[in-house]
Amino acid sequence: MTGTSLLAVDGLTMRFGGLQAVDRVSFEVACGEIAALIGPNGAGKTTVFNCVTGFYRPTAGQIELTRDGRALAIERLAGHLIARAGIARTFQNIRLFPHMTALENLLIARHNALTGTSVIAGIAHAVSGLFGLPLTRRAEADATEIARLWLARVGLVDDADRPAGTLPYGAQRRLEIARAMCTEPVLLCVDEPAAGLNAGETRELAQLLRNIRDHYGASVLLIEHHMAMVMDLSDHVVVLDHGHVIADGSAEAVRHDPKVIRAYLGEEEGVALPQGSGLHGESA
Amino acid sequence: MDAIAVRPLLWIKEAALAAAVAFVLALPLAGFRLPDGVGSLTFRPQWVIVAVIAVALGRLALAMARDFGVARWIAAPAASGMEAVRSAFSPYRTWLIVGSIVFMVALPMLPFGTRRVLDLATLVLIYVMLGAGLNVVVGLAGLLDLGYVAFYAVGAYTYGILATQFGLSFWVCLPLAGLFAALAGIALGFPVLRLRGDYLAIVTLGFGEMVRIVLINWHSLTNGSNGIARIPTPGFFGMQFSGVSRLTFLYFIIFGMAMFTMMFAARIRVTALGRAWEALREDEIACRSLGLNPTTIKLSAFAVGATLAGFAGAFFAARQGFISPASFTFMESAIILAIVVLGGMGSQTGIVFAAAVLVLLPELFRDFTELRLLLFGAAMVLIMVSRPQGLVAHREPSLRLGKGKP
Amino acid sequence: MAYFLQQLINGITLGAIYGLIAIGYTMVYGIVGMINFAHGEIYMIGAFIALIAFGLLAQLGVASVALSLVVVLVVSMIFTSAYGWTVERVAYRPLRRSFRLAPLISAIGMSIFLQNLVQVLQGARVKTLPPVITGGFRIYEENGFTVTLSTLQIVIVVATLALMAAFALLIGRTALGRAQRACEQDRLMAELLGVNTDRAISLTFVIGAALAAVAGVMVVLYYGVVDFFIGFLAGIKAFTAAVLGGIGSLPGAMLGGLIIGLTESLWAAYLPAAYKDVAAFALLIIILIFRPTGLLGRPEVEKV
Repeated sequence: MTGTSLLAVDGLTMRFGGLQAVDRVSFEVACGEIAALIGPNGAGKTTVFNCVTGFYRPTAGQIELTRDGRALAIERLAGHLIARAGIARTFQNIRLFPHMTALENLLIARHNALTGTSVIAGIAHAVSGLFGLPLTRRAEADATEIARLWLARVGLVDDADRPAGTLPYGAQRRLEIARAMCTEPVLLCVDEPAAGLNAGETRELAQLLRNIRDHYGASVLLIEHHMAMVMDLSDHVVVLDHGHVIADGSAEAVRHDPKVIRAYLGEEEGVALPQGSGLHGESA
Repeated sequence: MDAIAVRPLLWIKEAALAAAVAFVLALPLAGFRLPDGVGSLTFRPQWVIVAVIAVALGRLALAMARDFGVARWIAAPAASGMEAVRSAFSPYRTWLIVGSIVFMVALPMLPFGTRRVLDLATLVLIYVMLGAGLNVVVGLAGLLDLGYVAFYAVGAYTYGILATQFGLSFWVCLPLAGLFAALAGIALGFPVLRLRGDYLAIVTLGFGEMVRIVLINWHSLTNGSNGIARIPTPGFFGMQFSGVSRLTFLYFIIFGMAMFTMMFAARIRVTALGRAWEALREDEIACRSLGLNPTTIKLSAFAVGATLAGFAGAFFAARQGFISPASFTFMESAIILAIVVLGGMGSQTGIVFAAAVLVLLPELFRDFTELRLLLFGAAMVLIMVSRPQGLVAHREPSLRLGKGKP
Repeated sequence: MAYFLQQLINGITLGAIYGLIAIGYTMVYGIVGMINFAHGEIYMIGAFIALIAFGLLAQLGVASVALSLVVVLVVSMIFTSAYGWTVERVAYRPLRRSFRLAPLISAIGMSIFLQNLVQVLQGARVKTLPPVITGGFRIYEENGFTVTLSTLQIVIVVATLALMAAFALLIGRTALGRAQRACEQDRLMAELLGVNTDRAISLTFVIGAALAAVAGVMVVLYYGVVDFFIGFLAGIKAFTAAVLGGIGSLPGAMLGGLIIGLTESLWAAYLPAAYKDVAAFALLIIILIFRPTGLLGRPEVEKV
């Protein structure tokens, strides 16, 4: 159902002591779209992310996830419950499990699918696993297959048994996305995925995100500074500055919005943000 | 290889500095001895001199070793040597394990399988079991539990009280001991779940001490400091043993229990729960982002670790025939932690080695009994300092894509 | 009422001693983010060195109480600081970039080492000191119970306040203090700006050890008896005090110490004394569950 609302953020406010990080931010992410959250450093993008994914509890506002026709208010939910509801994320500073192999990292994402979410189910699964009962073995095989599939999609099958911490940076970023996707989310939140990637890797990343939108059943919400990639990739861009939304529309519209230009470049009108020149968005 | 830097002046300077520090440290505490009652101080300059010389020489040796690149000479071949040994042994690994098991089973029958040896072996196996149990909590889940002895005590007192007050047999009490210990684990784990590593450690230590104080003061239940005596030995289908056969029977029981614990620990590591524990240790925030509930995972680690300690405690009570709160001090927790740490967290064989060393060394070198704890505190520091990259130095993946599950 | 007043006085005195030890915990935690598990043993070593110094002075025939006190304080502070410095250099500095639990395990090992070192060197039996500072004031009388405020108690509280003021000045006004505070907030940045972080950290440990030494001297004077095990219990209580007051906060450590001292004193007076240590542990657990930042601490936001 492309086009219907997937995530609705309404009046989101976040205060840390005296600091107002996010002030009445509202925007929507529709099904089947790639939405980007951009803005100068300190604009509040990661704060919004953390509220959406349950790592911060917002001071005020509502966040609603609509899935299978049912709307779920998630602003008060803990991080792990939001993940179970269908929102997966990656982190600005890559949080893989460094001593575990790439495969194991992905298998953790299948944990709830394997063990169920209640304590009884968990105990039953553990006991059954200890004895190597066929039910568990089949479940593990299925989980491994899903993991293998995602490793193939990000080109890391050959590195499946290497400790994640030993992989090169670009591979680690892809692995983190693959791991998030193994939870079978409806919304993938990626935090600065292109940071530190070269041009070729950035192109591959953009294609991966498109595939996620088109074939793997998830919408994408992305924080990114790499302007060219954002403009090229996104269906929908939301611009934050000092905790407020200053623009919200298609990439084309936002690129020419004077308020946005001023926030980033602080210069006179008539200057448009780059299209594909490879200029990285500079912070104000 | 870099050039060897021969810098005798620097070495002497470093050694002199170290000697000066050693002098300052040694002078008051080593140089003088306080009288035990009334009296005057004893002046012992010889101790200070020995300390200073030892430190100076040691520092000199270290400086020379560093500049000669000895560390490099040792470290690189050592690392590849370990790898070589590991891969050389691995095809025989199964045989080695089977061989050790056969040896352990046959021990009582062998000529040197005396009372003394069996006694020591039993003690080693108790610590192996405790080490494997704590390894689940510390090594796998990364939760530094300094109050592990509390669960050991719960298990021991469960059997002690149920056997002496209600006449229940060991075999009935064993699962009960595990159950009560598990409940204690959950009860004690619950409040501490959100705490970070350091705080968790101190609070668990506090819990351990609280349990000990309660044991001392709850006379009606535990008989206080006097402890519980005449705890019966387990029987075997109605047969009662005594003397050497009792010892042998107990030995086989703990051997079975230790085997069970190690197999259990090895199995659970490759299940989803074991993986979740390890993931929790690596990065709790990432776990939350993947839908894992850190609370339940931590509680499960606590509960499983506690259960194993409870089983060990019940056996301990059965073997000793007498238990008192004095056996369950913080030092016990520290010893078990040392076994896990020295053995290399996560390594089963390492735990066996460490337990053996810890128990056997003081026996072999009687004079060292007093220095035992001293040396082992020093060993803990040394191991940490010399292996800062982490205790999970070599981790076997729980499964492989390439060659199928191990 | 009189009884209560006496417990109050005793509790405040005890609290001052705990506060001195707690400062060491809180300052170290503030600057390197670790619990110096061996700090309790440093305090114990301070007490032993004080005892040795008193013994030596007595054998040398020094009669003046004031002189003895000053000499013992200085001697104990110097030698104990050396221990504190060495512990940091040997057991913690190499582990600064290591994994999270490494310094704590090393600290535990160090604690065991020091405890047993003193046991081996000085024997396991308790050591005593005949009263040095005697006398006091009768403050209040009621129903035959006299509330006394001893000179020693006054000395302890006054010394503690003076030291706290001195160190607050040191931290707040001097360059060394500034460096220390910078390291507390952002060590990497401080290093990049040329601050000698190693020295700032060493200084922190040294100050903590010196204060613990003072506490050791006070305990020797106040109770007259020590053994190699006093560090363990006092360490846990002082750590509880530091957490209660807000870890990282100097006034918090003193406040926490005061509360713990009063709690222990009043509990021992009115409730089963055997469980008074349980009270301290329970208090720690309750604080950490409901208000982990303590009374005067700054709330920490988890950076994701």
